[in-house]
Amino acid sequence: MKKIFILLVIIAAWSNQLLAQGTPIDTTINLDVLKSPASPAFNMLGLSPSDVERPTDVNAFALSLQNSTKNFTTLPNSYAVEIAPVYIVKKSLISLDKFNSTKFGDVFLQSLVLSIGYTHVGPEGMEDVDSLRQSKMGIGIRFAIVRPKFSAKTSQTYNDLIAQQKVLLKDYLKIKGENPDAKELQLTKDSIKALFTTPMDAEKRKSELERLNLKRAALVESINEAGNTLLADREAFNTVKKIASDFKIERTGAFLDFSAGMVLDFPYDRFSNSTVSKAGAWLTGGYEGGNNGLSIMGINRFLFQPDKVFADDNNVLATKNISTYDAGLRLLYNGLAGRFVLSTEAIYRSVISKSTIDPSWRLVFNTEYDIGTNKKITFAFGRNFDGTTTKGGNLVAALNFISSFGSARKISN
Amino acid sequence: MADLKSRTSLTDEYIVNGGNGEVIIDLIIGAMGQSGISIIKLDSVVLADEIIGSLVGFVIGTNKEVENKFLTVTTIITDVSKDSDVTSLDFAIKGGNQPFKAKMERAVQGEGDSVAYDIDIFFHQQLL
Repeated sequence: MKKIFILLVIIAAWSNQLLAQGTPIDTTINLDVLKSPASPAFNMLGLSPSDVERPTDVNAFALSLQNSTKNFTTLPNSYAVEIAPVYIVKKSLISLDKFNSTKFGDVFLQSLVLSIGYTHVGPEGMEDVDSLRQSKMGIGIRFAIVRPKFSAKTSQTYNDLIAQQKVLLKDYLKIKGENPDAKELQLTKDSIKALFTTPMDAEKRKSELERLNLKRAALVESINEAGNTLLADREAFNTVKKIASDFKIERTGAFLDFSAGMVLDFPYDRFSNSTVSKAGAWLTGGYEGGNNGLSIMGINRFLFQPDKVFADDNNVLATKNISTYDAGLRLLYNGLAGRFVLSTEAIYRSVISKSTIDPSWRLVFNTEYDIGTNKKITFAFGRNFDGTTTKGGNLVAALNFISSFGSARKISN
Repeated sequence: MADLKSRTSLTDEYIVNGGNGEVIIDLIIGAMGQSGISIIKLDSVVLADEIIGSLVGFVIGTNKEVENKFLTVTTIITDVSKDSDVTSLDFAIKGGNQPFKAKMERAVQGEGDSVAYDIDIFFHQQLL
């Protein structure tokens, strides 16, 4: 450890010399530019997430369609619906306890979301011009292939939640038992049972059963409502509330997600004739190591006729019939109880349907070692998309020693 | 299916046939991401206690065994999801004369709140 420290101090001292001559680089790469939107289909259609209907059963979906189409008499100017098939196929998977499953079938169904959107508007800025309106339909899909388990912290919080829910259940049963109507309810139930063990006229039994069932329903409802009111004053209720409202799922392990979307244009509003105007697919995977370990995230993105070609800095390409492939990788390592941080981010971008623009890539490497008393040694290395690549060599962009308060690792002269 | 919006109690009857066929219940906790715990009793006998989450295909007895008895289910559902403040309980019975389904739901007032649900079902044979 002492040798590493001496070595780092020497590097840092040398870096001060170098820095006087070096050019500062932006040491951050934002992989978010490659990330899949939450709903690719709606994003490409230009629909806001707040406009999206999310029915959880067939009846709700039918009602949503009925409302949007004015009782099936007209096509709406825009309609967007997101459906989670798990509600129809296997609803027992939707509760929190099933969210820790790593079985492919469970993970796939829990995460599968299908989205369909429709718009009948004019081009941007002229949305309401009737003569320019055109029908467009967006279709999207999103699901997880591999999902890691809860982190140790999340598992602990979940166990605490369940333990307190058990207390809450016992509290509620006690509250119900102490309700003044509880005895009356039991007597009513006994009377109902007696109807079937005591000989009596069939008509009388029927009418008496009806009367007693109404009484039973009223008592159960009143005991339940009173119970819910009293439950809110219990200590366990507030403990559960605190745990539940702070509950955030963190996972550790490997993950792999897929999402895709496409937009179909219907020229002249003829639904028998369609063209694909935009499409995209994202494959995101990696490994989440938790607070003190290794995290890796990789994103692969394919786009067809995007609004903007990522690799085209100078906007020289028209996007018609253009397909692009971009990829990103982020690696983060926290070691030595958080004193050593190493991060690497890289982005690759290309146009795969034209050779006008060559593929390019950028790499940023950062490392940071906390030597104590608020002093950190940082080292950064970068390779840019443009000049550096064309010159054919990597560039050590900055090497710096920061001796200051806080954790800033900004590289400057 | 009975849809009991904003109701947290369900009282009903279920017609059984007196035979040896099993009577089965489903109890589904919702909405997506909420946490539930239940106790299931047939008269005073506890069939299942502190059941976490949903329960599918749970056998409560034969038609003959459950006849003239009350099934009581008590469930506490806590709003854990950040996407929804709705808690819901789907309940279904099959194995008797006809399948029975009901859905109750209630939106919580504050994040992390819990709601208690009660189900009270009486099993008997068809009245003559």
